Amino acid sequence: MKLTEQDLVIKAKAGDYRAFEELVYAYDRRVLATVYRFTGDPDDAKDLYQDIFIRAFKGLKKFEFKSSFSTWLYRIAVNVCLTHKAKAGKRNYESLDDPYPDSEDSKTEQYEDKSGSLSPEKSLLGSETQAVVRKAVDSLSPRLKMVFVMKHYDGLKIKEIAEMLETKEGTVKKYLFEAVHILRGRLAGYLEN
Amino acid sequence: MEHQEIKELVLLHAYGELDGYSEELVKNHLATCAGCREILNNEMHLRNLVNTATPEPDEKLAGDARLQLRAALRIETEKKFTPEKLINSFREFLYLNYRPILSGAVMLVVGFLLSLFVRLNSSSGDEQNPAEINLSDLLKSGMKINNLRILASDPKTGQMEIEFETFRNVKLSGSFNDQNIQSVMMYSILNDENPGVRLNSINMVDSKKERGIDKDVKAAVLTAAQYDENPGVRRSALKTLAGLPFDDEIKTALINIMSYDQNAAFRIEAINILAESQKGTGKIDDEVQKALRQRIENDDNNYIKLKAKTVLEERNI
Repeated sequence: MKLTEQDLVIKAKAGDYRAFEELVYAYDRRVLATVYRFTGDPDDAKDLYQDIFIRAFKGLKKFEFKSSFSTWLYRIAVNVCLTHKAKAGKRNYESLDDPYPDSEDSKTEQYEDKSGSLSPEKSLLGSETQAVVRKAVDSLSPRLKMVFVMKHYDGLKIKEIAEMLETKEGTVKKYLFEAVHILRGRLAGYLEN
Repeated sequence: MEHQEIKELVLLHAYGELDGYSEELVKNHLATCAGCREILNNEMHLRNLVNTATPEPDEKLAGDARLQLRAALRIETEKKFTPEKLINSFREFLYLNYRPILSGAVMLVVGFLLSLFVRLNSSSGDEQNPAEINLSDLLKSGMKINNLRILASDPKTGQMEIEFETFRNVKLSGSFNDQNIQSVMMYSILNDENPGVRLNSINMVDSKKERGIDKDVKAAVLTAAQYDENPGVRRSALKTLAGLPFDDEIKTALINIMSYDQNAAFRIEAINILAESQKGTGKIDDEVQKALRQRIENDDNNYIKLKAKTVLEERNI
């Protein structure tokens, strides 16, 4: 009989490595996809993926079923991604006055497009368009980007994202609208075409 | 409801976040408001544009990431293994076999210190030196002293404090099924730094496997087959697995090897063992089928693609 996720977590908490491995297999592709979409770099994605599961492995004993295992795991993934970006903070996130807005009260990120709209005439079509889109997404601040990736690429509901970010749904909506607003500005030329 | 609020709902409608009343409200509004229809169209355009650039990890990245993770987890489990499992596994062994040695070591230290104290302070040579008896007996029995250090020395009183380590080679005799012997084998396969010793231990397990092996020893062989950095050790472990009764643990290990081992020869061998294990069952296990198909699609070695395809075709799959 196939074990349920809860059974696997209980076994893994008790030190059953095989059970933990099964949990890894259940979610690792999704986690890898998220971190890869977030970082855009395969080596970074591999490092973050490993970091996430090692943290999960070490922290499993503290998991108390207050949320689903997947939410708990994604919460680790989000923290690892955001911490990674914070560490790599040498990069300039355009339009950032407050790089880590944490609450409803935090300052709204600036909308203006300091890099200027990307001119389609200067780029080729196809893969170059993809590169331009990726660059535009990559230029979002870490939290806006995280929310955007989770919503647009991973297809999560706002409620789920809020749970993973441990914030309010309203905050997630705000981030999402801001991200979309910024992207619309940066990709204006492509959208018109 | 304010128009600005409706505009926000239009975006949420585009994200599939609305239901019931709100969804109905937006639909009705869109039917009459050209401005909001344009907002929706713009949103859908942006969405389509962004979706064309969704970065997707390929199979190689996924495989590499898993491989790296397994190695890292192995290190973590070994960390956990050392203080907890290992000590538990060896507790009985230690108590049974080392108690006299440890007692002897304590006696040695006490005796040696006493002898030094007596020797340095004695004005007459008539007193018997107790350390001589203990020391010579223990040394005769094979005890060795290492790393002697003088911790403190008082030239006025002649007192001193020394420290040293004692060790002794341990010989175990018994059948292969003896728990102590299997524990030592398991420890050696997983932890010995010398690949030759790991290899010898696996070969020893292999030569005795008909007598049955302990589940921890089997787990050590499974680990070695998948993760040992030395190809010779992995090869021997794989050979041993081929001779053990096929089960889910072995199946999973073989699928991992077939999917992720960087050495093509081992991937081929894993396919061979898996194919052999499925003979007589009438069909191929779903997980094995899936893994074989992935090899056909993704392996960079053409022989492996062909081999995987042949295994499936032989079963008309």
